[in-house]
Amino acid sequence: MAVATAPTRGMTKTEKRNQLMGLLFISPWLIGFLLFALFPLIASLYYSMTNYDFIRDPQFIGLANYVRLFTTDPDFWTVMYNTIYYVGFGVPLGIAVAFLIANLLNSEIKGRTLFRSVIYIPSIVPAVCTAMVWLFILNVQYGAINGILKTIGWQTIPFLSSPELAKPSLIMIYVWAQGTAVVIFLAALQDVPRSLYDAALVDGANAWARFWNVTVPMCTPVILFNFIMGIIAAFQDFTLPFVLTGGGPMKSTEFYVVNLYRNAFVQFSIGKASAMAWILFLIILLFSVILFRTSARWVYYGGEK
Amino acid sequence: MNNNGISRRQFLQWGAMTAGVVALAACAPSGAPASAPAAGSEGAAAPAAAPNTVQYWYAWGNLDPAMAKIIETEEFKAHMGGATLEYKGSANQDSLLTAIAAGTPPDGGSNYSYVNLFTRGATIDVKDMADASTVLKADDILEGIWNSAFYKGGMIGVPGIECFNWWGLNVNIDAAEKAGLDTTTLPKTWDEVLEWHKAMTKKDDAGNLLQFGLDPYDAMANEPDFLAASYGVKWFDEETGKFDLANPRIAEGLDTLGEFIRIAGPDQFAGMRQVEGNGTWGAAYNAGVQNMIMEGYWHPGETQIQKPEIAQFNRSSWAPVPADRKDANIMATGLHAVVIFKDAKNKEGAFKLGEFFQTPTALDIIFNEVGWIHGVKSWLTTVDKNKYPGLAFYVDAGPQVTEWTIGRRCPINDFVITQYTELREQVYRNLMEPQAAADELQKRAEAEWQAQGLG
Repeated sequence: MAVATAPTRGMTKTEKRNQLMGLLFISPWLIGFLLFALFPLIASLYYSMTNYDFIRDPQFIGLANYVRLFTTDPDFWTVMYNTIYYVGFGVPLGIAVAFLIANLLNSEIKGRTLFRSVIYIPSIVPAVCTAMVWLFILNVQYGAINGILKTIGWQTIPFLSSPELAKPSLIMIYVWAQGTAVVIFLAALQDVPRSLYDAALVDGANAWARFWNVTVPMCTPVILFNFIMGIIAAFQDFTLPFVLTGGGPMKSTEFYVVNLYRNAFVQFSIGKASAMAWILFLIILLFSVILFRTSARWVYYGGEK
Repeated sequence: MNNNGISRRQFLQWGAMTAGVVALAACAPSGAPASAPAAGSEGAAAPAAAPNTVQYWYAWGNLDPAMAKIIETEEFKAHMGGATLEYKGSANQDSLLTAIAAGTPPDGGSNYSYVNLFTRGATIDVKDMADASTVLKADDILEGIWNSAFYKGGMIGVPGIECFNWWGLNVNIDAAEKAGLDTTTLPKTWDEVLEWHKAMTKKDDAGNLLQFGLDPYDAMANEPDFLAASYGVKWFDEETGKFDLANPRIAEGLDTLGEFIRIAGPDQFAGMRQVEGNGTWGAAYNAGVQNMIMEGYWHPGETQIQKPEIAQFNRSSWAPVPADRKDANIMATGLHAVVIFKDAKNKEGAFKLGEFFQTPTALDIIFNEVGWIHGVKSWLTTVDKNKYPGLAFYVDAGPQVTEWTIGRRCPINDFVITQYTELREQVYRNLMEPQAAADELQKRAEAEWQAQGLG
């Protein structure tokens, strides 16, 4: 059977003009992407294989920076542990709390709009301000909570100044600032068909059964989305630990990106910092792939057969 | 239908064109200087061959008032020959490194990692310029300061702005007297200072820290130079590139200094430092929370300018040493300089600025506005050493010093400080033996030295 092929012809003047216009319109993004995203990305991969300090020309050293990070670097495994601890506890807890709050805000309660706004406020407050506010709440010497404890003659709690408590305290603040996830969950909850709840009621499902068997499955695509976004953001968290604790006490809150910054701008080790950036990229990629690969088992898409 | 309005396509085309024009205009170089032009430059076009501006960045946050006054003086305007000075304070090392990497550093800079930048070739050797200068006089600058401007024969920058005697124990004698201490003689050995620390450390009934004596790692004591010198160790030999951080005396020092924190409580201490107003260099002393601090010649003047009610009780004396070295009067000095960047557009202009910082006009303004001193011998004789409480010690100390240290000479000084901070905390939290911490510090420093290609 003969295959019909479209006759080839050159572009008309109008088509060429349209193509040029199209390219012109996307050129700001294209140039920006090439210059400020793709080029730095490729450059950082090259720098990660060099001994580079911002000043002298980079010297190619192959994978030595990577080997050094995994074998002899004094901080790498500490900051890796800190970060995985933070992500591992913070992100699931943040998702769970955000989902529960969204469910509460989705119910018919008085002042629902006000509560929604209040819950979202932490997400639009700059992280530095958030950090300062929590410092005034949690500080062992002058914090509000410890002020009350002091007044009643109790021993203060070193939320941010004890190596044991500093990470959990930062996780608590992370969980507090889940307003964006709450808003996204709210949108998802309002998309759950009413008919499913009605059918569940007819089947005699109580509130918990309706939540577990209708609400949760219908929201799993959004849970997956929030999970991935949460992991990406938490792995790269910088402002909160940097402003609140400066990575201390005893490097207990020295997270990955804080240490990367220190390597680059304090210790002049741009090559090593670039290697750290690529390792972080691979870690985030790995987590994302695992989540996507396992999502078939727990994410329900209504349109799927 | 009448269709004489603009189409969507036309609107987009015009919009794109307008945006393009605006973007081009935004990319054009600014015509207005950031600071007032110097005399002679007003209305005059800059010569095309010689840049008529000098860009100067510094990391200090409190030099600005002095700079504002300096550029207004006729002497400065005449010295700079009509050049406009564009200065930027609080410009930290991050922004400087980024500018260096981009090939657009300022012409001159101060208060950065001088040796680090110089050994990596970011700043130029100014020896030839200094030799040719009629303003810069080597024999009029204190020997230690002049020597600190050199590294392996090269001259790092023009010594200037401030630099004098770095180490003294500064005590709030009002707090000491309230703690029942005899302030006739200030403590000299670590044992004595520890007793003062105990007396001045106050906690409430529940054990919460209210005030304390000395943070042995605050301000100048934060750097390994200090602990090493106090215990008579030279931790880095710049000629050989060898480290001596595993020296048992360093371990002894880590243990002794750690005791100060143990008494106050490590968690309490860390919490106190996290608070705005107590966290930055010297802030807890000004706040009256900390009553002893290791600082230098700038301390009396800065405290007077920033917190006169505390400064009135300030008294200064020798930095502490262990009991077996009680006769050692240790002191450090080092470099603050105007360094000139390799890619500077106006190297001569930056050098002239460095020269001007040697003049009595600039030195007087800086002394009065910021409280700093620079070791220019002819000018030091004019300084009123009683202007700021505690200053007399620093002015008079020189001849009595028995051991001098030239500070911050290691090209990986910042790395060592980062590691030192972590390991000493492990010691005072009793998580690591002092000698093990010293050994680990040595190991990390050597590994970094090699890894940075400096070995």
